[in-house]
Amino acid sequence: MSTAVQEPARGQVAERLPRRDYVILPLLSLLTVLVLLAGAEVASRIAFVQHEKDACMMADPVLGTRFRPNCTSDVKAAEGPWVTNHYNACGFRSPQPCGAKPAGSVRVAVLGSSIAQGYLVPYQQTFAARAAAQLTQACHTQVQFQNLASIGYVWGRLADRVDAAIDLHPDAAVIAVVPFDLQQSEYQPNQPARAQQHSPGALKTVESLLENSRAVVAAQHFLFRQPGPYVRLYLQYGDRADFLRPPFSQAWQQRLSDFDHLMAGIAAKFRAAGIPVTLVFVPERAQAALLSAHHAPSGVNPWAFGQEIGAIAHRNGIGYVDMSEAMSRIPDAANLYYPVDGHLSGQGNKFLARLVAQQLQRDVPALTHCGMSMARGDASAGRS
Amino acid sequence: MTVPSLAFLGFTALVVVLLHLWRDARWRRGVLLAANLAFLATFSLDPRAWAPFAGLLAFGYLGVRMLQADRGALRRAFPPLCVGLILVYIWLKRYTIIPDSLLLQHPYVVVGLSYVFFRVLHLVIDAHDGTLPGKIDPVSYLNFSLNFASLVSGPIQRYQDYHRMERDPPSLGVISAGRAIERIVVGFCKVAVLSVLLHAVQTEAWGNMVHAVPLLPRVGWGAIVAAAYPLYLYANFSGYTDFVIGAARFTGIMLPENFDRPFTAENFINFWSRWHITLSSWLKTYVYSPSLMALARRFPSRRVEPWLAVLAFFVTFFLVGVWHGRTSAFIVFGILQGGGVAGNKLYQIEMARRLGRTRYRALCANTAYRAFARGLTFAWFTFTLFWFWSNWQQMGVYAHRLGGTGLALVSIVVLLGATALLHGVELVRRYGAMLVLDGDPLFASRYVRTVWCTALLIVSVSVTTLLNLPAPDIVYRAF
Repeated sequence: MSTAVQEPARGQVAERLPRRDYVILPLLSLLTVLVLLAGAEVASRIAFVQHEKDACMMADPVLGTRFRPNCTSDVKAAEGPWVTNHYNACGFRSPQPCGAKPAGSVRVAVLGSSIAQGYLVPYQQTFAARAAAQLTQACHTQVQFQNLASIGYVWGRLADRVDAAIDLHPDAAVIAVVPFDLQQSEYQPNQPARAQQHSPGALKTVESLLENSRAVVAAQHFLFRQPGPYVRLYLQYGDRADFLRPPFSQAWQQRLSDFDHLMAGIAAKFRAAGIPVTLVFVPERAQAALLSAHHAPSGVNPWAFGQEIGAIAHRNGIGYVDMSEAMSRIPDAANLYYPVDGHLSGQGNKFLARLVAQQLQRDVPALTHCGMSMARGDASAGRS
Repeated sequence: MTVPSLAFLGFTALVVVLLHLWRDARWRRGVLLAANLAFLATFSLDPRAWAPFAGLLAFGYLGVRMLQADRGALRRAFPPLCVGLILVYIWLKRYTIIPDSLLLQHPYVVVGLSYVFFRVLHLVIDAHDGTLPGKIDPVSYLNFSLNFASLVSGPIQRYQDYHRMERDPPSLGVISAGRAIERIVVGFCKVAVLSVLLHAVQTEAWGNMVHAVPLLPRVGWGAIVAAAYPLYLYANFSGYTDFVIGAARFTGIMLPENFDRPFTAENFINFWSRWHITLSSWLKTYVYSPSLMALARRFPSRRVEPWLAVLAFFVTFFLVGVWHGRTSAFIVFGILQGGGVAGNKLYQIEMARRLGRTRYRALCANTAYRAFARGLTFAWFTFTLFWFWSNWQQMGVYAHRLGGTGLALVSIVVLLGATALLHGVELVRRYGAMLVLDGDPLFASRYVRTVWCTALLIVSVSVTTLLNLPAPDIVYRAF
């Protein structure tokens, strides 16, 4: 039986397919799709190696997570480089020891979650390391950052970390926050995961497959590199994206109120210890894209949330750095993040470092004499 | 509406559904007319913007009817009618030879104007020659001239072929439908993936060439800049053609082929029988043959006959080149096309004279000679395309960056590279044809083609979605 496909000549009776082909051909198509998808998955797993689980991370009944002291681990975001994390004797991500502050040096304690930790970014590229280097150079004084931040933090219990920070006798404290962090504060550690509450159906299985598929990550990486489609999809996130839509929903108002209370407590503790605090607001990637674009869909305001956080900082007498302003001055702020993962990349940390260093020079008496330029925003830091 | 696009496929699907509602020739013609006008309306709804286009069509139709009237006085209007049509076309296309003050100042639609012009002029000439199948009515005239599937960039169909299918479309069995789908998928992949990638390759190579310092890297990038364009143009235009041929098949119209593996051509004359076939055929029919006959009548000597063919070839393919654009660069492009074909003919005449026909034929059958001839044909076409895709300033930059030595090296790299690569492709094709399934070549098997087609579809959809590309543009839409 010939399998060659030839269109019948005009006037000829149309050639018919054997009956079996009505089954075989669609099956072949389906098989091709499956093989291509499997091939794409294998290729993506080779090209986009991912190892995000930090071997040094351990559960903590109070804080949610913390890092094993004197531990070294390797992690890698699918979109980023291999990163070696080293945690000092206190379990902080800092190369300097956490013991007594060396005489004549300036110490800054960093608090927060993954963004503050410099998650998935090599240490030397984190904002903490960069700001320390910039200030050391500008002030001719040894400036060290002790990074107490940790991914997976139970944000609502940040206050419990403040005592450890004060014990370091820092000259300043920096707290970095992203909108997503405020949602994390609602996490209840003893609550069973939703997936365990319901037996997974077919839809859940597909959902899980897609969530764990590296090909999907690779595909998203290329799709999300362009801010337009990323923002469009992000705005459909529902509650998670509602922080971009003022007036804020009841849920987001509650989160802001909780955060206000949290900051009041933290500020009071630091104030009592005589330590100035700087709150750094880092926009989400979609927000950064909107800020760069200088155009937002109706009902969306990328500035509003940062202004609310700023008001909270002001009410509590905390220094405030809002990355929004600086991001709005560059055309490609979305490029400062890993497109799919959403954390700041090395470039994003570089951008943040300069803002933090400038603010610390204003807020920290030990650093006010430094000759670092305060006037530059610095838009150039974001350009690679 | 962009072609190719999903919107165009949706539009075609709607037309197909409407066509199948009623099996009646009048209904079919009516639906096709409505579809053609609706497709036109997607470009502009402003009647003023369509007025010049409508004027050309009306002029052409009156001319056809006049010539079909078969009255001596009216038929004598044939030469001025043709000249008038050509002048109107040149005027509407805003060729730079027309003074600005004579051009229409308000914006108007020119999409597909060139292709409509070729169809209308063909009708006028065939009406004069009496080769049209009967009197042409306005609906058939409009459906033929404005066929939505081939309006934007062809292919240029002959009315004689169209006429039959307008009334009595060829049946569409499962195999024909499968083949049509395959053409659509392959065409879309060529335009949306392959041509986009090749264009990106050329753009990047240009940037690298401009910035590279040592000569050898500059030569390498320069060779890529030159050689990527013909491949891009082929993927872009043949992809479009595949797409519209496939789509039109569902409406019961079988459009003519426009490409036949052009880079396998072993000489430039043969190349133009494989590249933009409907355009070169049109010009061979309505320019080459009549001018050769006219010259032969004027110089009735067997000795000069081959030289007359050389001259007719030059004129024909000079027109092919000039048709592509309105600037001085396209005059050079025309000279290079005409010169290439005429030079090729001269070479054939001279070689046949020196070697004798038998030895020359034997030489042409030699594998190494054929491979080199293939490479030379590609290299020449690549060279001529500089006047197609770049302007004088860009050519200046290219020449300045490479210098005389660099340009010579680029020419050698393109020639030898094309010779080796195209020969490799031929070998793969030849040996691939030896793979057999159920007595037929493996690659012609519907099973293999189903797998191939599905894979192309997945790749095309993935790439266009992930890169979030705008609808691809067709280079020949501008002509």
